[in-house]
Amino acid sequence: VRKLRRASVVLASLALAAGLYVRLLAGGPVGPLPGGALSGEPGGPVEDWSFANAHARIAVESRAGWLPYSISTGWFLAHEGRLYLVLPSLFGDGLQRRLARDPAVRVRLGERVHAARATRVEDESELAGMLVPFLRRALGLEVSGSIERLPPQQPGSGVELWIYRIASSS
Amino acid sequence: VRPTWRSIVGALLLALAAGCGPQGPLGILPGGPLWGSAEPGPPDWAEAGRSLTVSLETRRGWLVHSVTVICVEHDGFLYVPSRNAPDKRWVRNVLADPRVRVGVGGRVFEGVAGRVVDAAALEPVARKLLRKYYGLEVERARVLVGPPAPEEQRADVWMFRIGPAGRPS
Repeated sequence: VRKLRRASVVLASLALAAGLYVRLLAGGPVGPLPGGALSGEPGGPVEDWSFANAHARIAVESRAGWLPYSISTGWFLAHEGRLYLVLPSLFGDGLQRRLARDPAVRVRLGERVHAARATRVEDESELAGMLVPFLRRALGLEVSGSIERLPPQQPGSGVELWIYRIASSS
Repeated sequence: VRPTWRSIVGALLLALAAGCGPQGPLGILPGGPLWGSAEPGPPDWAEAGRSLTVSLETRRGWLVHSVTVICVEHDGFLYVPSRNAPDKRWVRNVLADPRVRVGVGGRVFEGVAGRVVDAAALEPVARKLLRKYYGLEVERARVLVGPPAPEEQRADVWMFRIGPAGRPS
């Protein structure tokens, strides 16, 4: 029992150390685990984000909390030169809550990190334009005909889709 | 507590055990066998279909691997999509051994899983998925079956159908 307890303490310490490493020192998220400040080469302002589609994942950092917070996601799309970030509430609302407090973000595509702002997209025509190519890219679904966004369901029981347009900070 | 080599090795073995057992997945982290004795798969999977996520246990040889997945119920079967499917261990396991166990609401059900490649049969499933997980009501949704072309930038999504053990999936 003593050996098992000692091994458990060491395991918990290793897990804590790994968690602290990812959160503070890893230079961004590691796999599905959120990280801290993004590392990478500084990238300049971007007018046309079309190049983003060549990347499988994007890392997004917010500094709204007392520690930088970053996630890595494949849920994004460059459409007509604009960059969209899609956050389903199914994956948690850690970034969405921060963006509501402060829209300033840093995004990393490949090795470059760009300063940007995230603006919630509410315009239905803009959403309709980006959702079809997004669903094809992210879910392998070819959607046609009418698309209607259903009203958000009761908290905790349904899934909401938060969509942001990412634009370079001026 | 002063760590010794034995305790470090023990901790690593415990960590390994957490990945291969003795418990199911923990959120986004995969796990080992689902706890609890398994019941035969339900006739309609309706309860599983109402859950936002379920645990899916797959196996290959004596190694058991479980993950948390999203799902919808349709026509008495449970459907589970997989993005970038060829890279997923649970997908490779199912292709090698279709026997699965599904954990939902504290119960574990036995089932048999198989990949579905009939795009027409998957259309209502895709619409249910969009409604349940993305709050979107769409008129038509066709699942793009088959791998994307090299220049095509889209996820390779496979759809699996789970039926009770003994019922062809």
